[in-house]
Amino acid sequence: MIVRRPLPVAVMTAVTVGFLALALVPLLWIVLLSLKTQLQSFDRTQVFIFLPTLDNYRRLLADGTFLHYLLNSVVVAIGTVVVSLAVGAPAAYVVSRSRWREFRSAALAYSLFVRIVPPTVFIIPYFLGARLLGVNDTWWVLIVAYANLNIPLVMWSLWSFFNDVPRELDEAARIDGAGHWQIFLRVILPVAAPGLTATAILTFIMAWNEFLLALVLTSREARTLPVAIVGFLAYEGADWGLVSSGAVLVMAPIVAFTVLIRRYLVQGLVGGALKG
Amino acid sequence: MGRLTRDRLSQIAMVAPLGAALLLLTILPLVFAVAVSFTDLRLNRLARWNWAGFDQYLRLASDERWWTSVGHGLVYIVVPTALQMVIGLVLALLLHAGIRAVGVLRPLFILPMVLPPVVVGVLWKAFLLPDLGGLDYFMSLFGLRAPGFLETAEGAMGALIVTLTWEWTPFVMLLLLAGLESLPQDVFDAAHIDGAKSWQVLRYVTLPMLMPTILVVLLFRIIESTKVFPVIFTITGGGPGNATENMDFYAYLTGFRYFDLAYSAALLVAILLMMAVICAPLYRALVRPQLQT
Amino acid sequence: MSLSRRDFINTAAGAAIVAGAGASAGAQGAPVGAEVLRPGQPYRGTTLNFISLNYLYSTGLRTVLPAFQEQTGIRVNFELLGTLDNLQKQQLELSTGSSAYDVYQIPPFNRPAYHRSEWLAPLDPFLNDPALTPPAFEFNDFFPISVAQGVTENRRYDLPIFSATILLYWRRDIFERAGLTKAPETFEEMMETCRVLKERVPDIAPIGLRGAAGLEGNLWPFPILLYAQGGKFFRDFPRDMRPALTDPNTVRAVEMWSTLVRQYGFPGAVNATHEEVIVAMQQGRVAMVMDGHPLANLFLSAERSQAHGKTSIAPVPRGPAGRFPAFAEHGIGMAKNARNKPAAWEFIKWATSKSVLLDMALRTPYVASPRRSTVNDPRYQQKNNLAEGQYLPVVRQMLEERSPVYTPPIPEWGEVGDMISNAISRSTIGRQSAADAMRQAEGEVDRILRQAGYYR
Repeated sequence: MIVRRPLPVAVMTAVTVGFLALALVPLLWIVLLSLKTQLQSFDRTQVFIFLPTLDNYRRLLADGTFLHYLLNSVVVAIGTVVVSLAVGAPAAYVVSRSRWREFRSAALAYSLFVRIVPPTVFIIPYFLGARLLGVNDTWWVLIVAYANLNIPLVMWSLWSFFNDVPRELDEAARIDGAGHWQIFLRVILPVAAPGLTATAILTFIMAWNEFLLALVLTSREARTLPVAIVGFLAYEGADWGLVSSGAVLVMAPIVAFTVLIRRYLVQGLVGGALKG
Repeated sequence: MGRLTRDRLSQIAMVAPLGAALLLLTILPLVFAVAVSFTDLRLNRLARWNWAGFDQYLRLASDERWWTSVGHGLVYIVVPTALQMVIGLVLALLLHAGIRAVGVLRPLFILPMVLPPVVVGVLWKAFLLPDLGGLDYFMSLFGLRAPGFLETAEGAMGALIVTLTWEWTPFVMLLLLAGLESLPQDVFDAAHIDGAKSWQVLRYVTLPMLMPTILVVLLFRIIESTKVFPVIFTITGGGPGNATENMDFYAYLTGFRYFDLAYSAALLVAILLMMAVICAPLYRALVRPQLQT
Repeated sequence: MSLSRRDFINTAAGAAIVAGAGASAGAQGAPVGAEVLRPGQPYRGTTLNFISLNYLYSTGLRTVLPAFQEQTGIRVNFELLGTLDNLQKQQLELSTGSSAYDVYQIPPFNRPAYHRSEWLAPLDPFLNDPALTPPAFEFNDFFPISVAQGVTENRRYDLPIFSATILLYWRRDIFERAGLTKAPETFEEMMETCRVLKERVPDIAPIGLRGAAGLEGNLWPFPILLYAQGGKFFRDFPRDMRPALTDPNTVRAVEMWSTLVRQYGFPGAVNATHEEVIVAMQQGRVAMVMDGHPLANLFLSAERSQAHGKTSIAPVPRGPAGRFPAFAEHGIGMAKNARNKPAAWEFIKWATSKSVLLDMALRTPYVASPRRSTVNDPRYQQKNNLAEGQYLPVVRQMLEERSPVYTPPIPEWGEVGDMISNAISRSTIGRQSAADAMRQAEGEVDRILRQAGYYR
């Protein structure tokens, strides 16, 4: 690059990295908090140097309910991924291959519209509907509700990944007599596998993180981790040991997944919009 | 001919589940919510209800708490979004200017945006606690007292703004960086050969070329900026007073704390209309280029 | 703060160990609560779900729970939540006739709504059946004021488990540093005391109050001040139910409250619940606290609190209109659609039995028992001989002097109280003047009461 730079790279590097590092301090703070006893947690003499303890994690896991909520979170998130992909992926394929402008435009509008609708809007109908069907406080009601919010995201994301698959591949398969399903399953999906994985992980993260619908639609059986953590804030004085260790455990898989899909994150998040 | 029909049918089959989901899980609930807003339905007497015409909307028009929450909602849309865009753009430009070392650490820096919002809230609540939190500690090292986050109405709002900026700046940074990287390099080279200064390149070449991306990112941030419920819930609970309550939060309280489902539905319909008005121009800006391809 | 919760967990672990060797033993060596339970484990294998505020009585019950499970073969799941989550969850479940939970803690200020909506199953059939409730339950051992709350239109929907009032805790050492020797006796004196404290001991906040909006936030202590200043919620309860929030005395009380919290409170007091008040007291950051008597063991904990050994206890202040001590009764009842009502009754009567309440009081920080037998027990008196013996006598005095109607027992209080508490809070943070805030609340409350049909 011949770009002239107003500042030496070293200085800019230092400033940028410094700024970004500073932004991570609250994260560090909560990790430290999770390793402290209640007495240490607000002790100014033991901020960074203290005898770490896993006591909070032990307390958290000793109570079987945390593991129960963990299971709920895992099942609901995986269920959401499966349903959202099963519904969204074939549709995304059709949209991606469609030459009908209005159809593509409508699909895009739909994807955006569901994002614009605040999830709060859905809580009343969903809550009453779930009561009516007797499925409140089950994995199913959360999976269906989350799928509804995530299908547009899946479409949005896969659409652009499918657009990247050269149409020549479709044509070749067509000449061999393949129908749409075969093209989709045998040609498109394998080629777009990385995109598919990234989309699946994004959907997993969305479902794993969701709070409002879980708060309203579940009681004790199907409660997920985000709702459980908020519960820890409400003892006689927040139990910061439990809150922080719970928070750390909830974010752990998210951190792992983010590292895994970092390359596809951008395309997954804004999909076709950026490529257009 | 047979093949064409079969093709058409299989395409329909591929889209059908989506259509069903759209109908049953999006349109029907929305219609239902609108219908509820014209009743007097309450959560604690679901069996008895009457049509109430525009009563709920008339009440909304003169509800001071609602208009206050609209004001707060606009603050959450404008202030954190503006901060995110500016800081995110600056960081993206800096990173693009050649700091490869950061590449490895990138996943760490984008963490805030993928963390559960509840965790983000908990994290900042712990960090901003008056007297006991991390910020207070670090400021005290320099002999300073932390600004009174969570101590006053303005402070609580400030705490939420800081948190939201922290949470979503990485999103802006990441996307603008991707946008910058996809710009054709030769234009910059040409500009420099023509003797343009760095800031001129930025002003007349980089930013205009990046503008479509900036608009897309801005649209996404505005859309998502209403989804601050978990952060409000964990950090301030809407308080002190109603000083940090936005439209969503008020609608939620109305429906599920005060049981006034009908009024809550009316508030939600109003929120939806407002979002549509705000997003429509940006939406057009986004859809048009899409259709040209 | 959760220091106390750690205590509970440690105690619970201890209880579990004891339970492993046999049910945890009560006063006479028999398992706790055995005297009220049906013999022969008729409900063995049943599971009950209990939803409650996460508070001293529910964590206390959890500590002694192994004795119940061992004796009855009934498993009880505890769902303990914070104030707002608990309220919301309970009301969602109850209002839709769900049977997800069998046993409910009854939040004191929402009790009228629970009763009037007939969300709960009447307990009389169980209570009056000698086969289900043996004489050893000793219903008459409950304080009359405590049991009175559970009845609406001659039906009993809940039993008392926690009878609370409010005290003034004050730090002798900090007062001394300011040259003060006695607790304020009127609210005017309290304002003056705060002024002096702030001036002379600037590093410590003069007073700890729950500033956050909510029925169990600012609206729990606020009526003490309101009534003392001659203010009121309604024009003439229960005859004239039109709101009286713009009454000059009411507005004046809101002004005083706002000053106390904002100007003389600890950092963060404007959005504080009892949790922050406990932390502030334990960390020695306040010179006075006007809050619940049940929190005494947390405020004054020898292990956790800097206030231990330096704190005196006084009656809440009076005003021109007199003294109006607080009263709240937390209850326990069962859902109308509970799946297994007889088993739920086993748990309810066990949880409110003489020996269980006493055992909880002796082994956990729980103190606000609604039973005479607990309060008269020498071991209880010895354990709670707090603040140089001032504690128990002042508590008794406050309960005797309590206001006849501390919070109005109307089913709309949940919503009405929320509106009022919000207005107080808006005034507290200085967003509105007390007069403006109360005028806005007056309109909102008027709409609710009118709709509810109290007047046209």
